[in-house]
Amino acid sequence: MGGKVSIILVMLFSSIFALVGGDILKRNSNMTDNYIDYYNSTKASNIAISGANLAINKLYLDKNWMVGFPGRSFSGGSFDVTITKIGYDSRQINSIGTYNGVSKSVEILLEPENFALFGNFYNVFGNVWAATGDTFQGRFHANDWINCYGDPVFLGQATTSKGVKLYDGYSHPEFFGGTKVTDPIPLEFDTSSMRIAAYNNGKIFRDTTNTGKVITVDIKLLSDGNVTYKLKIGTGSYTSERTVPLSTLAPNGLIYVEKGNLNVEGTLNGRATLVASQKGNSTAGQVFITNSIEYAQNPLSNPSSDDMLGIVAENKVTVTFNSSRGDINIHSSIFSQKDGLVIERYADYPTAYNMNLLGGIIGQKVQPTATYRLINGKYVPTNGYSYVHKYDTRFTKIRPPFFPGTKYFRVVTWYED
Amino acid sequence: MGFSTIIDILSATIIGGIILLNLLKLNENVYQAEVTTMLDVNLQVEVVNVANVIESDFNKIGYCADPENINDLSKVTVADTSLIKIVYDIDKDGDYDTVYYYVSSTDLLNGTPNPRDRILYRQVNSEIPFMVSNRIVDFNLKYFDSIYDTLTTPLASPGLATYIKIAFRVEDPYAYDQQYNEAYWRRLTVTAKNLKRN
Repeated sequence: MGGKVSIILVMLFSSIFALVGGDILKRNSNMTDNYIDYYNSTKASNIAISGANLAINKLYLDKNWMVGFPGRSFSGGSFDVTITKIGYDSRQINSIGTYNGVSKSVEILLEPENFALFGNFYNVFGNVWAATGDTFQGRFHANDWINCYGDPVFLGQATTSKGVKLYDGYSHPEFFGGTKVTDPIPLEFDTSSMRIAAYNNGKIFRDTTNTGKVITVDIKLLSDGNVTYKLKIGTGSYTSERTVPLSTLAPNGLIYVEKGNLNVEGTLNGRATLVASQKGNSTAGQVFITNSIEYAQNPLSNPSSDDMLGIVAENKVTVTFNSSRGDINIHSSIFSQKDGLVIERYADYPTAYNMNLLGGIIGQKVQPTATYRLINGKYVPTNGYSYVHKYDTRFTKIRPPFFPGTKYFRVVTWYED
Repeated sequence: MGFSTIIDILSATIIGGIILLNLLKLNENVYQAEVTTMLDVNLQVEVVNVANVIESDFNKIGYCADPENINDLSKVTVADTSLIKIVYDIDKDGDYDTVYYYVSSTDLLNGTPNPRDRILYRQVNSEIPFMVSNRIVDFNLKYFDSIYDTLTTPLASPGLATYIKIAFRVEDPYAYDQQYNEAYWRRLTVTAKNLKRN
C-alpha cells in the first residue's frame, strides 16, 4: 500500500518537476534570446560603422568617388553604403548594416576641408616646443610631432602625423579638443585656380610690361569699404595711389599678385583674400604686414560681422620691423606655404609687445617671435612680440574667398541610430 | 501474518517517508532554481535595456543635425563618478539638447529589502526625469583625456573628457536565501564620433 503511494507521489512530483523544468528551460532560452538580440544589434551597428569607415577611406583616396557599396557581404552580415552629394561639394554617407535580420544605420556628413579651419597648422615643428602659457585656439595640426614642454593648452582638436612628444614626466599638455594621429595633410594649394578666379571676377596685379620683373603692391584697407593701392614693377617707381571700393576692385574678393610681393595694413570692411605668388622667383610670393590689420567690425564683439580676410603667400608672411609700433593686431587667416609668420628683427624691439592674432596661422614651420629670459623660474618675453592667438570661429563654417583647401573631406556630423 | 504485515507497513512508511522528504527537498531546490532563474532573466533583460539606453545616448554625444548650429562648446558639461551631463541633438531638430544621467540615494528605495539599490535617472533638458532602472547598485563613470590619462572626478574642466568608461551593476530588490542576484555591464571605452571634432 505504502509502496503504491510512494510510486504515485514520485510520478506526481516527476510531472510537476517536468512542468517547472520546462519553465526553467524556457526562461534560460529567453535569457539567451535576449543576449542574442543585443549581440545582433551590436553586430549590425558595428557592420554599419565598418561600411561607413570603408566609404570614408574611399573618399579619402578619391574625392570624386560616388559609387558606394551596394549590398556588400561583411563579417557574417552585410552593409549597403550610398553616397549622396549635398549642396555644392559636401557628401553624405548612409551605411546600413544588417546582421541576422537586424539592421542599424550610420549617417555621416562630410565637407571639403580647407586650411582656414585650422587655428595653427605647421608642416615642421622641429625643435620648437609648445610650452606652459601657450594657449592654442581652434584646430591644431602638425605634420610632425607636437612637442609639449610643461602644460600648453590646446582648446581645439589637435591632430598630428607622428604623435605628441612630452619634454619630460612633468609635462601635462591639456587637449580640450582631443588629439589623434592622422595621415599628413599636404601643405599645398592650387595657384592656377586662384589665378583663374582672380582673372574672372577678382583683381590680378602682374608685370604688364611682360619683362618678368617682380612687382610690389601696397594695399591699405579702409574701414569704409574702400581700398587704396599703388604698385611698382621691378625697381621702378610707384604708380600714384588709387582708392576704389573693394567690391569694385575685386567683386569676388580675390586679389592676386602674380610674381610679386604685397605690403598690407588697414581696416577691412568686407571679405577678401590677398595672394602673393612666386611664379618661380625666390624673392617673390611674400606678404609684408606693415601695421595692424583689423576688421571694421570685430567678430569677437559682433558675431554677425561679415568682415573676413585671408592672406596667402606662396613664400612667407612677414611683420615688418617698426620699433615704435607697439602692439599689433592682425585679423586674418594666414597661409604661408614655404615658411611661416616671420617677425622681422624681433630681437631689436625695445621691449615685448603683444601680437594679437584673430584667425589662424598655416605655415611650413613655427617661427620665433620674441626673445625670452628666465625670471623667477619662468621664461618671460623681453623683446619682440608675444603671440596672443584667438581663433575666428566663423572659419569653421565659412572661409575667406578661395582660401586654399586640403585635398580631403572632414567629418561634420556622425549619427548612429 | 499479522506481524509481517506490520513490518511491511512500517518499512513501506519509512521508505515512503524518506522518499517523500527527498522529494520535498527536491521540490524546494527546484523552486529556488525556478525563482532564481526567473529573477536572473529579469535582471539580464534589465541590463540589456539599460545598456541600450545608455549606448544610444553616449554614441551621439556632440551630434547636431544642423551643421550651422555646431559649436565648439564642451559637449560634456558635468562629469562626476556617478553622474554626467552630455549634449547632443536628440530629436534631430538642429538644436542641442542636454541629457543628464544621475543616480538617487539608496534612501529612495528604502521599501525594498536590498539596502544598496538605487534609481538611475535620465533627464532630457528640463523635462521630468525618466527612470531608466530601479535596480542600480553601482553606476560608475571614468574619464580620460586625449592621451588616456585618467581625469580626477569631478572634472573641473569637463571639456577635457575624450574617452569615457561606463560600468553599472544591477541587483534584485529581493533576496532569495540572503542572496541578491546581480548582473554587471561594462563598456571599456566610449569614443563619441562627434565629441571632438573641431
